[in-house]
Amino acid sequence: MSGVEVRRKDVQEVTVVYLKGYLDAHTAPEFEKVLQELVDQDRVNIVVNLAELTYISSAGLGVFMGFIEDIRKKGGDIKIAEMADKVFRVFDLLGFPVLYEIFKDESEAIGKYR
Amino acid sequence: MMKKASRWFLIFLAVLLVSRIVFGGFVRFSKPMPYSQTIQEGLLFLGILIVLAVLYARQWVRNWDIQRMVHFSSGLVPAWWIAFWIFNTSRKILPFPAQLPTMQGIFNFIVLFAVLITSVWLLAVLKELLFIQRGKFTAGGFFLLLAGLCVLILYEWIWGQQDIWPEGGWTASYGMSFGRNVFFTLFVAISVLNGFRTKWVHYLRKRQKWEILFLSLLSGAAGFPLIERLPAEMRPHSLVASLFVYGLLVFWMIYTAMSFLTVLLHLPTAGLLDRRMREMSSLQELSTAIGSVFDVRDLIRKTVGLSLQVVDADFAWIELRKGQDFELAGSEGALLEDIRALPVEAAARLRERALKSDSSVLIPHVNRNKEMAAFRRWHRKAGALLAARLQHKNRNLGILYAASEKPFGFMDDHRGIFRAFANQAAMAFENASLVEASLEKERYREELRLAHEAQMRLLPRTLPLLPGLQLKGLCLTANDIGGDFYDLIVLDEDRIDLVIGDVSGKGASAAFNMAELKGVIQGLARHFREPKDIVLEINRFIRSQFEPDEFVTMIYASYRPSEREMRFVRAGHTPVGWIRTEKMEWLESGGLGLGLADNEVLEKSLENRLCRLSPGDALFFFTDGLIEARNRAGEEFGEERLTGLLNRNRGLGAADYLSRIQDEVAAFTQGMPRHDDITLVVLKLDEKRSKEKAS
Repeated sequence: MSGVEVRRKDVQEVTVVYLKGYLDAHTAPEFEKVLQELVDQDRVNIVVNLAELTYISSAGLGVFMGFIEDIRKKGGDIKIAEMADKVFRVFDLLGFPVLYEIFKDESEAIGKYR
Repeated sequence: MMKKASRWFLIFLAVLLVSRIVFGGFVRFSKPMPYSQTIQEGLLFLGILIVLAVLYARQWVRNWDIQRMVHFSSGLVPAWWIAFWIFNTSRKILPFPAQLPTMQGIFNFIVLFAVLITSVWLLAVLKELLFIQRGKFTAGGFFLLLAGLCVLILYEWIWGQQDIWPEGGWTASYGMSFGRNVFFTLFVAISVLNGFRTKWVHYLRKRQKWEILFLSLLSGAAGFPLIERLPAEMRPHSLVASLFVYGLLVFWMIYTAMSFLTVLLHLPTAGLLDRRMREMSSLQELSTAIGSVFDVRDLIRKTVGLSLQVVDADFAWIELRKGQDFELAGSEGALLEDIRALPVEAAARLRERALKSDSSVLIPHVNRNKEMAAFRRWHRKAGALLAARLQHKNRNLGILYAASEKPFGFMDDHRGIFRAFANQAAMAFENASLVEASLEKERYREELRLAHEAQMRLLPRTLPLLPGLQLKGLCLTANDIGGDFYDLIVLDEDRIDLVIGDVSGKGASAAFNMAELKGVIQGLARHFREPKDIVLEINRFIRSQFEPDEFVTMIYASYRPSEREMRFVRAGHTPVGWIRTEKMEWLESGGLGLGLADNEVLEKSLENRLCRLSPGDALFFFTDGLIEARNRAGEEFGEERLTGLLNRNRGLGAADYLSRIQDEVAAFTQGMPRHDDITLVVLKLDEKRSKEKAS
């Protein structure tokens, strides 16, 4: 299919990661790399903005799982914001809302860290 | 055209010759010759003409290299000189055959004869030198030279003063004849024009050039006194022969002088030329390597080694791109540890500049460059630096560096050649990586094949035939293996467990996880009754055995035929379709995927569902590959389309139901490759049997 575009933006102590496109087994490593970078830099207050994500596969969901433990151990969190309905459906089926805080709005998610 | 001209020239000479012989008595010559001598000279002239014609038309010394030709042409004249010095100490012209032959006279004759014969060789060799890299006018010029020589001989013989070269030598009679002046001047001019053809000098190495310089000086010194001496010695024997040798010597002298000057002018750049040759051969070697070296490590060694030669560097190193970073891959002339100890900031700046530059980056004098000043503190001496990116199309593969210990060790002209070299190297690395990628792909394909085989073996080969129940399962695997599985466990007459799941990840690891799970589930089903308990145990297993980013979605269902009662839990999986006679509905209960959280959290989320089926009801289980199947426009099949499809076909039997769904999905995707497995399981209760039971 097509790839994923990962951008990050630092808002004071919070980092927003923007995902755009398809997040599947082939593109997941790009997202992984950015999260690893953030963990290494101890920037663990993370908001992932999925407004422009059109598809996420199980491997993509796995990336969240792979990092959440480390991040929470460091006192941080991954909060998810602005998901499209279709993507939310995938998260919801899997039960992610139990594990992650999900927000309609990016600023709301950022505000949660303050 | 040359042939025509030479034919007319020969005819002209022949007419002159015949008229001289036939009408000898009628033409007034300054000093008539006896007839016998005229015939002798005429024959000699004819002989010379034939020799020149053959010389012009053919190559005589085809296999000689430049050095041998130069040695011959500059060695022959001094040899003549030595021969004369030995055999003619009297330095007097001996009248021969007017007097009785003396020993000295005989030797003298032999030497002169040898000179005449070898002079033809000399002319042949000179011709070859002139013809090296022949141009448009080379042959014409040489023809003019030969023609000029003939005219010079003929004029002197027929109309000239026969007393040429008296005791006083040429100068005594020089200037006394207008015709002689004209023809001699013309001949010298032609000789000078031919003398410009010294292209062979370019192909000599520096050492050879010095050698030629010395040799031409020596032979010039030997030849100069011979120019007059030799024809004067020959004059008593034959006027024609003496003039031939004379003309040849004049040309040879001029040519030697011109060669001497050419070599002299080329000497300062001789080293540069040598270097160019080395550069070219290194480039050549590298392009050969491109075709033959596919091992990246070999290629690194070769590239760095050759780059030393290409720009005459003292040491060189190469960095290859690894994602966003660069990795020092190899060095030559300096230890890798030394290169690693490079001042970080300055090295990064150099890298940055190289990445931006279309050409190569030259730092001619490191110490005078502020940006690179840090290199001063490096313990390797770096006087000058060169850096060029390895670029293939728009992709950067790495950077090649070269360093010279001398400041100004690299100049501007090195940049181009270094760039060219780096381009060649980039192509070689690209080739090598392509070969590697295709091997990798092959390995990957093999892995997939094995994973696919494993997955297929894990799925139930045939589903048990159970009374009153239609059971059909189907798994369409994606190219990458999606990790879908389903299984049916018949535990006793009144308990049939059905499990459908999707293991996250792809390829071999998904297949292995699936295999493990199948064993675990088969075991657990025998120890626990409640789907919820079984699922919790599966979660415990996954949490302890799988990687943190691996998880499983699953529906675990347990059916009791006696009660037509289905109990199930949904753990993060797509919902179950309950297809009843009047309509269908989705059964979606809460439940986290397995492996996502500890049992405490999971237990809270899981909901036990119970549904009592009526005869003719069907349950439809599937994996997300079905609703995520995409068509050419990138559109997903989606839940709505699925709901409609299931509703429309409510009355079908299990097998027909599955094939209908399969057809519809195929019609939707229009042959687009599957990116995830699609698994479908249908469990349908017979209507017939239930009627029996009811009645």
